[in-house]
Amino acid sequence: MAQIAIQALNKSFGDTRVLEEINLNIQDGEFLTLVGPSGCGKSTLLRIIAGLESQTEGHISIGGCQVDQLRPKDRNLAMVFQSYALYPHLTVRENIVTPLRMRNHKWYQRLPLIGNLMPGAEHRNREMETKVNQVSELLQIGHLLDRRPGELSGGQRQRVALGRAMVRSPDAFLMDEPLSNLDAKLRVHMRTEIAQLHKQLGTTFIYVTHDQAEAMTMSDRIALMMDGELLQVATPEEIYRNPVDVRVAEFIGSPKINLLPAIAGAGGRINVCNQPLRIATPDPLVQSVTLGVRPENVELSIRERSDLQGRLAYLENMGAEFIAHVDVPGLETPVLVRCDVEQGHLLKLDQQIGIRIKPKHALLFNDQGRRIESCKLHQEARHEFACA
Amino acid sequence: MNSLAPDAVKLNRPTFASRIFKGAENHERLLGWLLSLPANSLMLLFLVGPILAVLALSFTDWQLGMDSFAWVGLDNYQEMLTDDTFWHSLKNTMIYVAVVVPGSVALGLGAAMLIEAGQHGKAFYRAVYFLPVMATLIAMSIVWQVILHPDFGLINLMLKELGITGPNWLQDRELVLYVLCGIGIWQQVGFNLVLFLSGLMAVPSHLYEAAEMDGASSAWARFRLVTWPMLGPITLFVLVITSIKAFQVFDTVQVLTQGGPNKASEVLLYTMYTEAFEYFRTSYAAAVTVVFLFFVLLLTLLKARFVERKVHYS
Ligand SMILES: Nc1ncnc2c1ncn2[C@@H]1O[C@H](COP(=O)(O)OP(=O)(O)OP(=O)(O)O)[C@@H](O)[C@H]1O
Ligand SMILES: [Mg+2]
Repeated sequence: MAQIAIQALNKSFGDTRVLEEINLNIQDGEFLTLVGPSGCGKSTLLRIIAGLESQTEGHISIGGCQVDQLRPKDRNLAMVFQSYALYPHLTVRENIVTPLRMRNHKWYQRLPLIGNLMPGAEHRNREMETKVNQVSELLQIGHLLDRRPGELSGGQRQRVALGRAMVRSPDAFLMDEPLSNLDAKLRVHMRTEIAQLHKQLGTTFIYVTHDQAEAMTMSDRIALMMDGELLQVATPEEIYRNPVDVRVAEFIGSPKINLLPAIAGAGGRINVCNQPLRIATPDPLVQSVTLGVRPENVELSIRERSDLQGRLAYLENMGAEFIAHVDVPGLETPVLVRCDVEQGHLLKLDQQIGIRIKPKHALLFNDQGRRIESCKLHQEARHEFACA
Repeated sequence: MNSLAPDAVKLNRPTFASRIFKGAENHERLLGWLLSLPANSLMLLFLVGPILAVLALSFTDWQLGMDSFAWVGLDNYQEMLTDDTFWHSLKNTMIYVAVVVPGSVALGLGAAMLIEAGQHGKAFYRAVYFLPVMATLIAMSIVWQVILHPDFGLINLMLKELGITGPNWLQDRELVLYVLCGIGIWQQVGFNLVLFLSGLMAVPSHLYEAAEMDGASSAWARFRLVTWPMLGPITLFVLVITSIKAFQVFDTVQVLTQGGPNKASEVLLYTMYTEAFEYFRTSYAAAVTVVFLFFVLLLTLLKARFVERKVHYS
C-alpha cells in the first residue's frame, strides 16, 4: 500500500513562496507526472515528499501514515536524481548494492574486512548478489557491473540510477527529470522503457518533468504546476481536451494551442476581429474572453464558408502532416492550422485563405484565465441564436 | 616489363614519400629542441643543477673556503653510518613526521567538516585557522618560548593554578620532541584545513542526498560513503605536502632547542645545518642533504606511482 497524500502543503524559502496550498492524492500503483515550466517548484515538491527538504506547512502521508517527522531513510521511497547522483568511486555493482548494504547491515557488518567475518555475512552477501543480478538483468546492464560511472554513457548511467532505486522494492519511486540529460532519440526510447518498467513493477511512480510530451505519453495522471500552484490534476486525455486554465491549455500540446482575443457580443456570441463565430458563452456577464482552439480543430476553407481570413505566412512540413501559419489581420500571432499532406501540397505561400474553427472544440477562458462554459450555435439560426 | 612498371612505381612511391616526410619530421623535431633550448637549459641550471651539485659534493672532501678537493667516493656516507648524531636525527625526524602528518591531517579535516557544516562565520574561521600559516614559524617560536617557559610560561602558570608542577617542556629529553610536534601540528592545521574546505565545497550536494535516500542516515555512514572517497585527491595532496613540510622541520628546532637537550630534538635539516655552517664540513652536510632529498623524492614518486591512480575516478 503506497497511497501518497499531500495536504495543504506550503513551502517558503525565506520570503519567497515556492509552493502554495498543494493538495494531491496519489493512488497506489499510479504513474503520476508533475509537469510545469522551469522554476515552478516541481523539484521542491518532490524533495519534500522524499524528506530531503522540510515543508513550511502541511502534511505528507504515505500509505495512510503521516511521515512529516520521518527521515528520508524511514519513508521507504527511492529517488532517481536528475544528475543521477551515482557514487563515482564505486563500481556499478557497488552503486546498486549500496541501498541494501546501508539498510540491511549494521555498521559493524559494513566494515571493510571484518564485516565479512561476521556471522551470517555469506548468506547476506549472496542474497544481495541475487538482487543485483535480477535488477541488472531487467535493465540490461549486466555487462557493465564492474565499471565505474565515469566509464558509462548517459543512458547507461540513467539505467544504473534506476537500478539503484529498484533494488530495494520501495513503496514509491520519485524521479526528478531523469531523462533530461539524454539526447532526443534516447529520451524517447527510455520513455517507453520507464513506462514498461512501471507496468512490470506496479509500484507508485512520481515523475517530474518539464517536457509536456513526456508527461502526455507516460502518465496515468498529470499534475500541472505553475508558479508553485497546482493548476490541474487529470488524465492526459482530459488535461488536453479540457484544460481548466489558459496556462494549462498553453503548456500542454505541441504545436501550441491558438489563443485568440475575443469579445462576447449580443447573446453571448463570440467575436474575433469583429467577425462573429458560431460559438457563444451562456454567461451574460462575460465580456472579453480568450478563445483557445488547438491546431487540429481549425480547418482551412474557402472564403465563403470561413470564420476568419488571412494570408498563409509559413508552411511547416512535419512529414506526416503540415502546420500552416495563417496571418489574420488584427491578430498578433499567426493562427496555426494542422492539415494533412495532400492539402499541404496544394497550398502556396502568401495566398489568401480562410479558416474555420470547429465550434465543438473551442475553449473559452475569462479574463482571469479560468475556463468558462461555451456552446455551439446552430448553423441554421442565422439571426436568432440559440445554444445547442 | 611494361605491365609491371606501374606496380613498381606504386610500390616505391610510399617509401619515397615517407622518407621525405620523415626528413621533414626530423627537421621539425630538431627545430623544436633548438627553440626550447634556452628554457630547458635554464631549467637544468637552476632547478636540477643545485641538486646535482649537492650530489657531486657528497662524494668529495671539500670544505667551505678550500681551494681544492678530492673525490672520496662513499666515505661521507660511511662516516654517516657510524655517526650517532645522524641516526638520532633520522629517528627523530621520522617520529616527527609520524606524529605531525596524521595529527595535522586529521585535525584539519575534522575542523574543515565542522566549519562546512556550520551556518555562519565560515570566512572568519578560515582566516583564523590560516593565521599560523601566514605568520612565519620563527616569529611564532618566540611566542611559544614564552608560553613554554618553565617558570613564567603560560602553560605552567595555568598548571600551577590546578596544583600541578609543570615540566620544563623544552629541557625534558622525553618531552621535547613531542612539544615540537605539537607546534608543528598547530602550524600545519590551518593550511590543511583550507585545502579540505575547498575540497568539501566541491563535493556535489546531490551525492549526500542520494546517500540519505539509500539509508546512510548517520553522519559516519555519510562520511564513509561520500565525503572520504570524494576527498581522495585532496587528501593525497595534503598528505604529500604535509609530509614534505614535516621532513623539512627546522625553524622551531633552531630557535627553541638547538637540537637539545643532548640531541633529543636533533632533526635531519638541523644536523645538516650545523655540519655545514657551524663545523663547515660541507661535503658531509651534502651527504646528509642527499639522504633528506631521497625521502622527499620517494614520497613524490609514491604519490605519482601508486596512490594517484586510486583516488581519481573517471
Ligand atoms: N534552497 C533554495 N533556496 C531558495 N530558493 C530556492 C531553493 N531551492 C529552490 N528555490 C526556488 O524555488 C523555486 C522552485 O525551484 P524548483 O527547483 O522546485 O523548480 P523546478 O520546478 O524543479 O525547476 P526545474 O524544471 O528548472 O528543475 C525556484 O524559483 C527556485 O529559485
Ligand atoms: Mg527541478
